[in-house]
Amino acid sequence: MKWLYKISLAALFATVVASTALALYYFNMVNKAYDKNSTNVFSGNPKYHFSLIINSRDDEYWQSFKEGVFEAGKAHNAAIEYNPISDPDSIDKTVEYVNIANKSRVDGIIVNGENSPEYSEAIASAAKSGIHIVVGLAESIDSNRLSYVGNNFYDYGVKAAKLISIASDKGTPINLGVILSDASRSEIDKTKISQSDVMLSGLTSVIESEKKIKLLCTLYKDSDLLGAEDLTKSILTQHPDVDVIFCTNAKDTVAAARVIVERNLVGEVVIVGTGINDEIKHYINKGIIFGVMDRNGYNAGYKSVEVLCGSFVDSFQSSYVSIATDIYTAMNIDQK
Amino acid sequence: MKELWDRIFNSIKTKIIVIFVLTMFLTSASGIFILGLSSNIIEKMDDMFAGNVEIDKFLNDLYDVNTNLTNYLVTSDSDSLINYYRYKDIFSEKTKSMFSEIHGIYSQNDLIYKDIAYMVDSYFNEAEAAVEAKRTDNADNYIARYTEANRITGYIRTYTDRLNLNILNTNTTQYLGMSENLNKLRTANLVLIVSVILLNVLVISYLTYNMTKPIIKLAHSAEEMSKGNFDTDDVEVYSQDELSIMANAFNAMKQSIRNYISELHSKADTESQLLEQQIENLRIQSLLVDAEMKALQMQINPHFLFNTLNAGVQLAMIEGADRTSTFLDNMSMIFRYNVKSLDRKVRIRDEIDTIKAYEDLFIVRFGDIMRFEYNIDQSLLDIDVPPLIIQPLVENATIHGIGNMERGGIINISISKDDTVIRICVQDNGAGMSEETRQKVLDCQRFENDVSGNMTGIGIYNVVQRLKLFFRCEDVIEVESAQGKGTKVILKIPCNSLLEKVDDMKLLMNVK
Repeated sequence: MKWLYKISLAALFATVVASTALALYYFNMVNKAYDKNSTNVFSGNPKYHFSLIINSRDDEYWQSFKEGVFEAGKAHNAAIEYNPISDPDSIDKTVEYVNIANKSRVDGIIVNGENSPEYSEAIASAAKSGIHIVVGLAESIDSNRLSYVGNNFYDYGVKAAKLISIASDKGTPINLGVILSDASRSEIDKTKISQSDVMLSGLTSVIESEKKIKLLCTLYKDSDLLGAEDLTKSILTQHPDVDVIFCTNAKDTVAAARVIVERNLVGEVVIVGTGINDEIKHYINKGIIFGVMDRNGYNAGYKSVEVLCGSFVDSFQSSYVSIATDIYTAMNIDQK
Repeated sequence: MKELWDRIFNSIKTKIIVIFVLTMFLTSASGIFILGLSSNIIEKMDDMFAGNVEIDKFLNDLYDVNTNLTNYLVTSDSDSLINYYRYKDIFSEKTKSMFSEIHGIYSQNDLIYKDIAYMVDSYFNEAEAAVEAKRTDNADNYIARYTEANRITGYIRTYTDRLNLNILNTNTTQYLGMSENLNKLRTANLVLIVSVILLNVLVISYLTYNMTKPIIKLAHSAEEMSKGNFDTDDVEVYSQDELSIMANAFNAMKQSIRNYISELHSKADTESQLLEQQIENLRIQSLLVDAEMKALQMQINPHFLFNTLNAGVQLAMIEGADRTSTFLDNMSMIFRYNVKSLDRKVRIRDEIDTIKAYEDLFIVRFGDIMRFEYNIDQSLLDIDVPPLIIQPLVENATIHGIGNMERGGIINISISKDDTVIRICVQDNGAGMSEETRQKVLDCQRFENDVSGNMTGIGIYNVVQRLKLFFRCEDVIEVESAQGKGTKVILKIPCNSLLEKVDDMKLLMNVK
């Protein structure tokens, strides 16, 4: 009987100790879950305060851009205030955030906004307040912003044309359909040149000089999610002889590739796209996408912060910082 | 350390106090532990929403400032201006204290706090400019400044909304993370409470059992003692407390009572033996008296009889009747021997001489119809024996064994000795006796006609009883007999105790 008592006593004592330890452990876990410092992303005493105003929700490029900005912020002890634009078509929110950054007396602004008078005015006002501004899209030529960091869209068009010219093995001329993600193009001042126009200019220059490509159509995508898919189907229906479809962002590229698979046109029509993600890699390996243009959003974001930080050290900064566009096909996609 | 431990646990009172304190401590400690955890978590829960409450107050204050600014600019009301400045001071102070708590820029929210602080500053710059323009009646300017100030309040609201949303998101994330672990924490606390309760129950039960077990044993032992059973096992208590002392005292008491009772028993036995001894003595005396009474019946005026027989002997000698003289002389000797006291001792020789006189008389009376044979170890003739132990046997042989036989018979008297016993044997070749009679003789039962016709008046029962008393042993007689073949009676006298018994007999005679 005594041994039963001793075993029970030991078991209960062990239970008390174990439950106390467990209670402390879970209490510590509660504390960790509560810990507000766990969300800390800055050093506590950053040297600069930059406002990042972009729409990164739908676009692979701008997501990479954002990652690059935050990485560079860590590297240069700069706090990045992220102001996402939920409505990509609304320039008002972008303008509001630029103005808020102005009134908040930030050290710098990295912004991606479409051309508009209000936008240009906000940029000018902030610049007048001494705030250094880097833009991801080139706005008016008379802007007071510090620098543009991004791709040379003409060069981007040229490289795209060269990739398209080798994309199809059906012989020349290669019938090309182009889907452009530039929904606001119709709303903006037609007298001003958009980046899509610059890119198309580069593309057509190659088409005209080399005569290997025949541009069947150029379609502009709506902002709805199925826009690229509908446009792809439209091209395939209206131009059944199309050999290559060129898309200018990652989402459009994936959507077009899916339509090719759905229509059982693998091998008949290939996609030349823009941006890289896992699905695009898969399609490249399957031969549905011949190749993609990588605009190096991460490098652009990183460089933007470097330019801003550099502006406080050296007043001279290049007003145009070009980020190289890389090409990836089945030959080198594994290196990415 | 061991001494301290012994000191603590050598007292029931201390044990009870220690158990009480221990269980109370366990219960209290677990309760305080759980209360501490709960309080800490409640504080965190409160703190989670403190930021939202503070921002809400901040916006209300901003509304008050802006309302008074608007009233002044629209109505030029001096009270509104005074209120504007009053609220501005209050708001500035609150804003300063609110944002001074931000000790560095660590997160997006910290950046928003910083932005709001700068925007508030920008707001007051514009507001002050608007008030100044109003005072100078510069309408375009104060309207432009007021519009800018209002726009900044819009920006502030945008950021406070965003801050609220961020805090809510953070709180939601924190709550989800905490909630999962809170459930587990609750389970762990429940297990802790239950196990502490069970541990207390176990400790109290066991120690109570250990303390009451010796008491129960003592109670059972005492109950047995009350029933007169003192042969119970000792109550064993392994502790060193008062119970052990009580148990040891109880055991010692039980042992003392047991010893006392044992002594009483021993004394009672001794008294009983003494009583038996006295009864035995009385019985011996009774036997002696009985034998003497029998003998006295035969002593009616013995001196007259002896004198008469002596006169007869002398007369026969004078007349030359030698055989008559011898007959009367033998007769006189037998009478003289028989009437002497039975509480004396005689030698075997005396017994044999009497038998021979008896034989002479018998021959004169009955001729040679009966013949006596003697086979006697002469070295044994001087052994002391009680008187009249052989003659009654010879008389029995002559009367009951051979007396009724016309052809006569032989009576053989032998005395011999082996290592331990002297055997006095009287054997006849007469009628013998039945087995039933033989058994009665061995069982020393009286016979109604035991002494009929005996000269001594003493039966075999008397002989046996006297021999037993004289030699203090039970095995004094053997009887062998078969009907028609005769009877052999053997008296057994133990050799080793012979002298001693004789001395005892002397003592016994003195008692009388």
